[in-house]
Amino acid sequence: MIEYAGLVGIDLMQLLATIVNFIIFFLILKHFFYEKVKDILAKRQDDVTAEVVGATEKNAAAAKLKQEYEGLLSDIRAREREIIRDAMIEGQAERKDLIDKAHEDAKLIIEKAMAEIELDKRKAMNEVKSNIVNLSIFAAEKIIDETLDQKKHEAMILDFIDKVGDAQ
Amino acid sequence: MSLVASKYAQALFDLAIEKNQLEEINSDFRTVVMILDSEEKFLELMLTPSLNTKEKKGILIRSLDSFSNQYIKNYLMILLDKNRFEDIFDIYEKFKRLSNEHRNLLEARVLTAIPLDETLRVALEEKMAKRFNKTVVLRNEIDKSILGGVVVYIGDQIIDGSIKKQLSQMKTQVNNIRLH
Repeated sequence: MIEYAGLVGIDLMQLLATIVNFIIFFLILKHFFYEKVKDILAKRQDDVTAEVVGATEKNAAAAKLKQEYEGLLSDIRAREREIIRDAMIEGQAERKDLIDKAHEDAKLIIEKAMAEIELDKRKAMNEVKSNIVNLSIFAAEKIIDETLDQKKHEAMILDFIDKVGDAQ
Repeated sequence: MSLVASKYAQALFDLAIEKNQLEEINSDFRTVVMILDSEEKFLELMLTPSLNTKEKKGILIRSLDSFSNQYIKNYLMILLDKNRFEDIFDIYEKFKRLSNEHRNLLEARVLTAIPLDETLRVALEEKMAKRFNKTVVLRNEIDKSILGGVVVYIGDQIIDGSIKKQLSQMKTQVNNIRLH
């Protein structure tokens, strides 16, 4: 117990000497290094401040640039949308034109085909009509030739003689 | 018709009038032309270059010996001399026209399917004479293709009263009907 008490005891003289040493050391340090350290710190402070200001300015410039780019990008996107819209409108108009043209062409083809069909139909009908007429006339000629006797011939000639005088 | 034929026809016509022999010359000229028209070989003989004019004249005089009219004989000799015998048909047509005009006469060709009897022929001649105010002489030809009725060719006119014409008109009218 006595040994332990001796180990944790305070030596006032040593304490005083340490304090004096510290003070002396502090004064020496202050005398020789305080201004230098202070300058270094001030310079460092200035550098940091300058760097901060520079960084702030750069940030501001970057923000401005960003804003400009974003504006530009926005314009580009708007323009892009406009181009796409125009292209779509134009495409739709072209599509409509193509469809209209296709309809018109189809209409013309149908009309032409119908006209040709109608023409062929008329031609065929007229041909049939002509054949019927020719056949009828031929039959009429045969019947007349067979049925006209001398008296009928003479009657026709007399009728002609009567009328030819009137026709003067 | 050629100008030469017209001149030759006019010359014969003038001679006929001058000699007051239009009927005789006309009749003989018609007979000669009818013979030449029906006897092709005879015409060929008159036109062949193998015989000279003197030989042709000899043949012609012997063939036409029965003809009484001397003017026609002489006229035919002139045609041979002048090498105009090939124009004899044209000359006759022109001469006939001049002769008919002088006599106020019209010749008509009448087509019928049956022969015209005398009654009908006279009736038709009278009607034509009245219509054209000239003496009309009909020449009837049978053409069964007209089927019936009459077709008259007179001057430059055609009066068609045939059944064939009526059927043809009917055919044209029916063919003109448009089908829809």
